[in-house]
Amino acid sequence: MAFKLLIIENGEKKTESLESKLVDEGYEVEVVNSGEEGIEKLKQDSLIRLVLLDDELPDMKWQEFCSAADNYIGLNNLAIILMISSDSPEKKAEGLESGADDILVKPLHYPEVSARVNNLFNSQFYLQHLQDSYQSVNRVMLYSEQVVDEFDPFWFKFPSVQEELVEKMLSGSPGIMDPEVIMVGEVDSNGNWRGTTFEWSYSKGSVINYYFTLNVGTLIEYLKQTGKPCVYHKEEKNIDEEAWKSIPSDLKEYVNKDFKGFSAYYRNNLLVMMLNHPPGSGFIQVHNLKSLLSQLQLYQAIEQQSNDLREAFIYTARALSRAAEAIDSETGNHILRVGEFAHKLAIYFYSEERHLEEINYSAWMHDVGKMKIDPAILLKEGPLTKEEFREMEIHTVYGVVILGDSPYLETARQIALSHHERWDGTGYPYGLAGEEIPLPARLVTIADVYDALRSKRPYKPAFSHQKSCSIILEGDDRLQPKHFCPQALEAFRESMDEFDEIYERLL
Amino acid sequence: MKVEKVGNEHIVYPEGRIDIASATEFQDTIISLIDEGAMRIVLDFSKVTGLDSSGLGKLLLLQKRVKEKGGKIVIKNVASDFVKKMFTLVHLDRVIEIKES
Repeated sequence: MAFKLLIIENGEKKTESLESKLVDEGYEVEVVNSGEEGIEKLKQDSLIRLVLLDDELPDMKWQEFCSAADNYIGLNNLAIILMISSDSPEKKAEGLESGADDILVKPLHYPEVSARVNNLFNSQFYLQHLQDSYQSVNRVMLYSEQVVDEFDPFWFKFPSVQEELVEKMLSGSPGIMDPEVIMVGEVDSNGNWRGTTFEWSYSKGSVINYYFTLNVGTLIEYLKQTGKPCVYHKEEKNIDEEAWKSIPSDLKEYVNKDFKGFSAYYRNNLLVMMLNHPPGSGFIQVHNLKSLLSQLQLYQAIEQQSNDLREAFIYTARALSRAAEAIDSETGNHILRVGEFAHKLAIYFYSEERHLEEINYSAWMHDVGKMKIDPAILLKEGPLTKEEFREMEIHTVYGVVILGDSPYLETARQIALSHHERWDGTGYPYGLAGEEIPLPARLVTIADVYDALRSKRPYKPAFSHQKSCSIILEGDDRLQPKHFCPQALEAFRESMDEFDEIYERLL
Repeated sequence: MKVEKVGNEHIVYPEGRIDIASATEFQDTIISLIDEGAMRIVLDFSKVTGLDSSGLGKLLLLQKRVKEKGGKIVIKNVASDFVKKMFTLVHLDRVIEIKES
């Protein structure tokens, strides 16, 4: 994609030689014979960025053309060279004041035309480049603001932010200076680079991305040796051929066009590359690469902290759950199993990974309230009296008190309080029924009951997987299917084979 | 612990903290009211400054006992923000009517 030049003549064909000379120099040239036709062309083709305008148009004054052109060019910049017939200083001044960027005096002297066209095209090129970069920086900045607004230190995920960030750099429309492909990823100690490629899809009109793995050991060595970002383009002068030699040959499979240039920047194991940028745009590419990489590294560091925070939190949750487990007769991996069972059931109700993870660790804490129950009741062999049983029931409320008011423990509180409620309203502590019982608690009810059936207790032997399933699905002298949420029971029916595997694995 | 009888209501005025040290006294007072046949027991919390999990546990146990006899416990004038927060956290209003003062 390159900019085009439009010649507007005064009706008599006399610039044919001018057109062919410019075409010979590699310009894309269009020729029209009136101001009206010229305006039409500008409306249709946004790539026309330079007009050679005759000062004697058949249908309008050249000044009218200049002001009309202003209306159609939109945000793009259009340069106009006015061709005047009399070489008077007054006429030249008037032309420059009324919208022309440059003046040529007829009869035209071709070397001068060529030099002026070339100069103006160059500045058009850089202007466009600047505009594209500005817009891409602007989109990235708006995105960063959005990230800050929505920031949740507990669930921050780098890969999704990385994708959005690069998409924001490319999106809008493909800028004339944009590289064909952007590749972002981490390099391990063996020089293996894993990451995501991003490219503009003209057929879809949007950015597409896919994963890649590539060995870039030699490139990394080259980049480390020179100690700076690298820019290479075959069509430029003074290029370092070592840079070209250092890149893996299969990199060219990532571009659709002839592979001519790339820029690369490497820091702290992150490598960012742009492939096939236009010649002459390298200095801006490097700037873009640097800004992209530093943003990515910032987000990566934030993700690391977010992970550390979540791990510390989950570790503490587990320690707390174990403390409650230690005084109970239940031993071993009871809490971990209940977490995994609940996770399996939750898959039928929640699609986001964070919700599944949350239900898993929250389920561990379902019995923390038992810490507040008199051990004489908790560890009593033989049946509990009515009073003792009532005390025992309150472990659900104690659980909530122990968990406190942290927003990250809302699900854990729901589970601790309501995992002994029953769908038909016959459970405890409050006798809630149906949808009054939060869904996570309804799932943990089944998870907890299944685990209790499989395990040996003072009042019962351990049951087999089949027997436990049939008690849950069909009931026995203590349990009825109507105790359970029907949808949760359906989820159990569909996933129960996996429960056996989990039980055996976490015995 | 001060107890007043107004109409068919028994109004109890606990003071200070209802915690592991004082919860038994609190429980005994109310159990004796239940045994006397009180059907509507109002707990005025205007002078209660704190409540721990033992206190909360006793409240729930007493509620079950009264409910079994067909009676009711109502809490009013909760002054302490901490106590209010604790009631909200455990959704106590699901089983005990808490009257806004």
